[in-house]
Amino acid sequence: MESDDEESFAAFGRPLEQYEEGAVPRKPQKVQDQTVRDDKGRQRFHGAFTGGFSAGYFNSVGSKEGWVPTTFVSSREKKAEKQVIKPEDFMDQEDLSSYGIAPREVTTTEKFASKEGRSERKKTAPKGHLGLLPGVEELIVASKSSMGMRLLQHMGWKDGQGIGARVKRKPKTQKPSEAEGGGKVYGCAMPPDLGSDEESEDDDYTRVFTFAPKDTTPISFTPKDDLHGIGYKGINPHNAMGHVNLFEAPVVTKTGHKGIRGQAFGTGALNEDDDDIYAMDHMSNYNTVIGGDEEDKLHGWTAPGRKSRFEPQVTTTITKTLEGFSISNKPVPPKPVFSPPSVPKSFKPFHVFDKTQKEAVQKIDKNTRRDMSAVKRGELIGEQPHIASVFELISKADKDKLSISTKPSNEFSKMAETGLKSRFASSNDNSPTQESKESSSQQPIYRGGRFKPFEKDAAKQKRYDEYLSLSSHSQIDAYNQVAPSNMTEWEREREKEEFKRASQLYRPMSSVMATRFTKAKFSDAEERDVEVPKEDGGDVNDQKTAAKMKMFGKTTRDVFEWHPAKTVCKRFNVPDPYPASSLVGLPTVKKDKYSLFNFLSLPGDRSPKHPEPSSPPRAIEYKGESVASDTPAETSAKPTSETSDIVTQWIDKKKEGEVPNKDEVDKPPIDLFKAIFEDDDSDTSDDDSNDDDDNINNITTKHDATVDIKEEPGIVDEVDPDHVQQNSKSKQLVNTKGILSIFGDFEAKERGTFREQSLQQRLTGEANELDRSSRSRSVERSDVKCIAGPALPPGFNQGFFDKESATHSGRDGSSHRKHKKDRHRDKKKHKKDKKKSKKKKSKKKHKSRKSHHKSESDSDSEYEDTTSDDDVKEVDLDDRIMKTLKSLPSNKRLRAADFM
Amino acid sequence: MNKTYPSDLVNTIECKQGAVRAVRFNADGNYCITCGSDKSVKLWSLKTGAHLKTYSGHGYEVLDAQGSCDNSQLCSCGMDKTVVLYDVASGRILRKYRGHAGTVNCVKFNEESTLLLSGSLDSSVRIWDCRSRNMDPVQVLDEAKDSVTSIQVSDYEILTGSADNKVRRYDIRNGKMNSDYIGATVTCVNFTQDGQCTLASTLDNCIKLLDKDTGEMLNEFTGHKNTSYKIDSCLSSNDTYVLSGSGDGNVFIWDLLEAKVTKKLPHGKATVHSLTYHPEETVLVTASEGKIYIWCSKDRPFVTMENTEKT
Repeated sequence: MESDDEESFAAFGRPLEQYEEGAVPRKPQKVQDQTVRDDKGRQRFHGAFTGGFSAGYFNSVGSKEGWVPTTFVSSREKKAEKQVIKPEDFMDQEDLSSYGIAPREVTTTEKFASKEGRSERKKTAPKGHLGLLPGVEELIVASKSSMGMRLLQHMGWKDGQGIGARVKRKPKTQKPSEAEGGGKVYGCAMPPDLGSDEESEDDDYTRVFTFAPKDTTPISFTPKDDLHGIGYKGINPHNAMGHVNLFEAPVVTKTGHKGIRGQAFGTGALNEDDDDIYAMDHMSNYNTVIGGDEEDKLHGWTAPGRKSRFEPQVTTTITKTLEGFSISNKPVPPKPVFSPPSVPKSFKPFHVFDKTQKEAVQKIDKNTRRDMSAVKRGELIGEQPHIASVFELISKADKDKLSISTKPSNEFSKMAETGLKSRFASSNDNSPTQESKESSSQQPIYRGGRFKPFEKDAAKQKRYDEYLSLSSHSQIDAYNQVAPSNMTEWEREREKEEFKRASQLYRPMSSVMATRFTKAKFSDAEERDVEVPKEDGGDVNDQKTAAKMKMFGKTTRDVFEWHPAKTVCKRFNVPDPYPASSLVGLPTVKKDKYSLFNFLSLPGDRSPKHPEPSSPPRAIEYKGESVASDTPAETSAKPTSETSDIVTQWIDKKKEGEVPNKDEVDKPPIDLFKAIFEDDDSDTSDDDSNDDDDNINNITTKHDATVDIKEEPGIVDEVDPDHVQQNSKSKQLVNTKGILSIFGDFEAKERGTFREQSLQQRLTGEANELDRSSRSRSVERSDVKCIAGPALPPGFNQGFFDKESATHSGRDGSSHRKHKKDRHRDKKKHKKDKKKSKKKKSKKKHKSRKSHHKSESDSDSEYEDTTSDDDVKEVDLDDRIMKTLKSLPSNKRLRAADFM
Repeated sequence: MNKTYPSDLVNTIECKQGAVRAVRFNADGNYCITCGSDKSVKLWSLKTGAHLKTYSGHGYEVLDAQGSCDNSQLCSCGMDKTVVLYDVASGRILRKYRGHAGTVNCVKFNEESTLLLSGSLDSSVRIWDCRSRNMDPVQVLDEAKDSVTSIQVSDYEILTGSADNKVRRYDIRNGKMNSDYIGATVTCVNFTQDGQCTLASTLDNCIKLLDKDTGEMLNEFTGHKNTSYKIDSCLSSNDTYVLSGSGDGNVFIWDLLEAKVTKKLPHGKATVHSLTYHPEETVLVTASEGKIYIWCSKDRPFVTMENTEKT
């Protein structure tokens, strides 16, 4: 039984999976949890709240990352690689399949397709040969023939011909009606047909030729494939269902009165017509004109023939009227035309002047109108004299008063000016003192005239006046000088405050203004004060004429000192020609261009046409201004300060032949040689702690230079200490000991003071070298100077040494000596240690380093000096090198190997 | 002495970059750099006449370019007021220096290609450090009163020609600046190969050979037309000939010593405004309109060109 039952069962579908014993049966997935996936297993539907269909970057929505906005990635690096971005790059693969939005499937190429897009046709359009206007030409497009057409053309078919074998034209005679002319004609004969005449003329020829068959348009038979009646047209669904346009006039078809008319079947003749429920309503059925309904029974329908006669002509041009408006039937009233006024016969079309006026004009001319003032002219015309100034309204008595009071105010402005002058003027004149005398003598008078705050107390007023005069010269303790001795301390204090407040309160206007403005440092009138850049070296006119005459050379050439930047030197592998200078570019050119005119050529500028072939490189920035760039000749011509006085002295001596002469100056600086002969890293040394030999040398020399400045206290207030400090730190003040020693030696000899001794001690390091020290040096001075390299700017050296020697003689000679001794001891000791070190670099460097570390407490010798004892060997060696250098061409670069 | 000059037109390349504003040999003379008015710089192999790479990065016409000494970098300048440094192989922009206030007319590397020197319409020469990351000029030479039209750099000198009729030579070694009044706007300056003289083209149909040290004129080369364009001139690799473009569509070749026109190389009607001479061989490349022309001598054909014909 059972077995039978089993056998008779039929199983449909899949059997349910058998759960294992103990396993928790899985819940079936609910519908909302199920996901739709495409053939590649990607989720395709996401639901409204998770982004919708295919959202995010490759369905990133809903994933752990979710919407990750793309960050900006610079394409600058990829610019070099050529990138062609196609729209496909942004499309899904499905879109490219045959059912996608941009299917990639096999299609008929344009070549075979008979229909061409307009754009394609435009491309093939021949241009320019039609001889039409350019605009028209664009409108005419050559139609591209289809493939079949082209095939036909290949076979000899031409446009306008029929298709088929060529045929002979039948002779016209065969046409019975025309050719014979024998047909009976009743009534008027038809005029002879021109066309037929031609044909008949051609007849003789046509017999010979064959002609292509005539082109006949084939009747296109559309097969009937529906079950509708013949001629049936279904309702256009657009019209049936779409928007009914009431404004469009309904199509009126004249059907005549034939056939059955009426609504439908089932309404008899007696029945009244129902409303045509299918009829289309139209706005023309309604009256849209307010009031003007009398004539118009046409309901807006104006057939061409039914136009009103009175309709103005203008309306014909109006093709469209606004919806809801119709053209008015009333003609526009014609514009009234006025005839021109009749000109009286006596009228002459030009102006005749009045005689009286003429006279007046002549009178004015005599006076030469231009010389007349406005008042005079006004008088002439007979105007009321107007008030030129407020002062005219003041009574005479008041005017007198005024004149008294204004006079001193003028004076005061002058005074203020001079006061300012005294403040800002350079030290070249002693005018301030004179002026102050002047003004102080004047001041009480005008003060009294101007304003007297303490008029009641005459003595006090006098004190106040004096106080004012003093304080105007920016004397700090002005009151203390004025204050009477018989006053108590408290009284004085009070009066001082009083005066101070009064002077502030009752300051005349001009002085208030004066405090607001500062006077120009350089007046425009004084040309010599304007610093003209050296660039305008030569006379431009001279250069022009020289260039015209093709006389190039000295006249057309200007040579300037030019400071390259440090980095530029480094990159060019050239030693800095001005190692001590922090300046970049041309020295005399102002950094900030105030005006274009500063840099245009000025006549009679003071810069020399041919500057000294090598002006000494500046060793120091002197109070922020460049001093060294001035040639000595210049400075001597215009001594302005005490430094330049010394310069003149120095120049005098130079003239006497005590100073090295010209050819020595031309030598490149010692650092050039250093850079040649020494290791490369010497110019890049930056830190003091470096124990490298090369670096030490460098530091020594730099340090020497700083000593130049620091040793004399007299110069301290002139040289910005910060600046010097900074320079010494940055190793810009590189100088050579040679220079120092030579100048020092020279200087000492000149003075014959204590300086000589101290210098000798400085110069002679060791006892055994003493005999050669200063004496031999002074003898060989010029030679040594050659070696030393660039000379220091004369003004600079002279000034400093002058003061230095003075102070030394006065003060700390002994302490100085002591330092020297100490140092020499150090040096000796060190020499033993470093016998191996190179000849050129050895002693002085270490010496200086030692001294540097020692850091003497003495303020004057805070920057310790080193002796500058070149031993004779070195001098000889240097001499030799110099000779070799001289013999070499200037442009050739030198190598250390050349001298080995 | 080698007395050959380029006389035969070997190849013409249509650069397809608008007007070719400048053409320059690279350091070894195998490649050629052209600057186009379509903002691009193109690198050409003269062996094959093939276009190797296009460097883009300018915003306006490129006016001058130069390859570095190791051929690894390329600098160019243009009317977009910038100086651009490219990596040759990748075409990436390494540096873009903005600082000039006007069109940058000319650009040069220094001898070791560590500095870039650019002369501009803003009458300044700016020196840029390619090594550092600092994008500001290391030094500005603003001595010129008018547009700096041309610049040359030797191992220790900078030579500039400017529209204020002056040729300036900055001697870094001596710390001196010489300015020579020439009498007309300078369009191009050159050093002779021996470094003793300078050659200056001026807008008065003249090229002047000046002694570097004294500023005296040693020779004058005339016959060509140079009145309105910035026309380049150059010297042959052995200093025997002076070559210059001309407004009448020729390249003039003068004998340096005799100052006689040795040869005219016809190019057509358009001005030949840029030309460059091979550093060693007798090869000249000129630029006129959108094409560059490669000229060789009869006797000594450009070796690399032979290779071309074989292949």
